[in-house]
Amino acid sequence: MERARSTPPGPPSWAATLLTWVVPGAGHVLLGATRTAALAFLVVEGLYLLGFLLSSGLVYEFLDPELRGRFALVLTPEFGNLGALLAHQMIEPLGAASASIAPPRPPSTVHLGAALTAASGVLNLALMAHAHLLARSSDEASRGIADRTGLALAAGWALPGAGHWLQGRARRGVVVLGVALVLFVIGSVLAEGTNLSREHHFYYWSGQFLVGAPAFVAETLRGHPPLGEVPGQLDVGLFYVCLAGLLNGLVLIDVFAWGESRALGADPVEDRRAMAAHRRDAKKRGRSSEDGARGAKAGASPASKHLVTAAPVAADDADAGDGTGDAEADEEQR
Amino acid sequence: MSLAIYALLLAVAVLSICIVNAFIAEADDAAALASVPKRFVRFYLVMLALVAFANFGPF
Repeated sequence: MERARSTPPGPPSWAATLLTWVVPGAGHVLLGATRTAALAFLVVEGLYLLGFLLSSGLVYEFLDPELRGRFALVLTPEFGNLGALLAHQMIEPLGAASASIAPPRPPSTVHLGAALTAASGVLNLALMAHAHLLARSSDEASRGIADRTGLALAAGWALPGAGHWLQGRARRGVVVLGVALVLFVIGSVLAEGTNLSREHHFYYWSGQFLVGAPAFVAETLRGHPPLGEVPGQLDVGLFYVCLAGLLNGLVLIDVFAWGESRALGADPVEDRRAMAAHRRDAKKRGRSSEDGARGAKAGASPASKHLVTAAPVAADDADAGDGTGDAEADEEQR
Repeated sequence: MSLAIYALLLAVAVLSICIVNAFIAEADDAAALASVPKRFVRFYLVMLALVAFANFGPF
């Protein structure tokens, strides 16, 4: 197995990730990638602003009044773009419009606006993942892989399987596309298309939005007719479309992990197995997950070991020990 | 809908979850797809047990 590269000195990846969450591109500025930062800010915030204008800021008014709690918007795609969401709430607080004496009528472009603000949130999540990986990339080659991984994540959301395809894993991409489409079609048929409206199913729409283009295209083609009779299998249909979106979101973990292993100089297949062995070993020792993972000595050292240890372990340091890759254990021996 | 269609729908959902689970657990395509049948049988049986418990359990 290839050895993991050492973690470069510089801003910690968590700082870059959190900054990007609040202000798209801020994490990249911290990492010195100013051009990427400027482009990211323009695209992500531009999408949100356009969505805000097209919907007159009334996107969240679709949420039922009884569901408007303090954390009601945490489950929306826009939560991925925290800064814009908070700014939106300062300008147009949730429920303020509908509580007024003469509630404003939403414009005809409100649904397009809703899709754009949601897309802004999901794209910012991909940007956060990119910043996280970029902060740990030590050379030009790994930074290039980090760039491609960020792109693959965005593409994987926009079209299920596209992220895998961009990474050269066409077969996996086709399976992912098939799974997402089958679930989405089954759900939409059972719900008789009523799932394709944020106005009628605010939270389920958020889940199905992670399917990307298929949901957007289907919603555009169907339009937004008023809700007539409630379909008999509505709940089952909503479950399936939401499952399609959430599974597509989950499978992006695989896209990220593949890019992460490659950016850190490890073989993705072996690295994933090393991670699994690492976790199994930690479980066997009967410790809590974090402590167990710290002390565990797996057969191989996963490149993404920082995910289970308190601090990143430089492979060069680990190699200087007994070759197991466990720098903490070596320190204890010394 | 008949019980058979519900069972089929449940199988589709379970199979989809198992495929994604296999893809996350295993980066190698062949190994991931080979592990799907085992994951499916286990998960589907668990889901059937849960459905049976929900329908015939002490509720």
